Amino acid sequence: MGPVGPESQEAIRLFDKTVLMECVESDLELFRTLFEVFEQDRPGLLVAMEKALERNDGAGLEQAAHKIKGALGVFGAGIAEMSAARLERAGREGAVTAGLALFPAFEATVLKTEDQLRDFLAELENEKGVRDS
Amino acid sequence: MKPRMRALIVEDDRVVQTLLEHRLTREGFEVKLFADGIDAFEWASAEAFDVAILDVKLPGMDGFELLEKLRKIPHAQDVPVLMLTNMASEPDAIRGLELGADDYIRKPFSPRELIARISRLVDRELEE
Repeated sequence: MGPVGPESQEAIRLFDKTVLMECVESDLELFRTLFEVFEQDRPGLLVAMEKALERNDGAGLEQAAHKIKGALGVFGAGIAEMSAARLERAGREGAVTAGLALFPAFEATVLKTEDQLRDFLAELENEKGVRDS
Repeated sequence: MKPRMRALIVEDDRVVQTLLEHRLTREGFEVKLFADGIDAFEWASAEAFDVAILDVKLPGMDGFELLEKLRKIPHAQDVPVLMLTNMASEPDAIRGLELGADDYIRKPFSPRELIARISRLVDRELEE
């Protein structure tokens, strides 16, 4: 499955709740901590990928795509993770033109995934607030 | 009192780093974390540790090169090493084992499985 265009993302959940909750072992604090790290690092990683593409720097693209792929995997964000893997491979093979074509949809998918993760975290925190009150 | 075991973690993504550090600390390990192979090798050359978890793809020196260098350090020759490999890359796992890794786990990993694998490696080392 390739990257998801913005118009088709509305109906699709871009992460797997089961994978995510298994990864954080249902620990809400840990989920929050990991998400905050992702929110801090994601802009820099996308910029690093974009700059690598502009500079025709396959190794730089491979490195940045690999890093963001690892983070996406933790959240069960399979669609974005697969797109990151394709960009990583494009970088490794020096196929920067292919990477340029893939990047806009990848970026949109990552941002949408991040929004969905933020909403899910808020939902879990609300549920916890209700339980604790 | 049993001394805390030391885990060397070399992983360049901060989300994965944070997850590994959290989980191993919870298991009672003292965690030493590095984002690149060169810094990790410098530290490991001078310090003792009980288990190493190495990502394959690292800036500076990749996980395979780091593994080869670790195996040449006298105090690290027998330290259990677990490699973090790409989901789709069986060759990475095989190469790691051929270079002297004791086990591997594919990313994204289940933390419970990771801890089970590390515990098995550490227990085996303690028995020998």
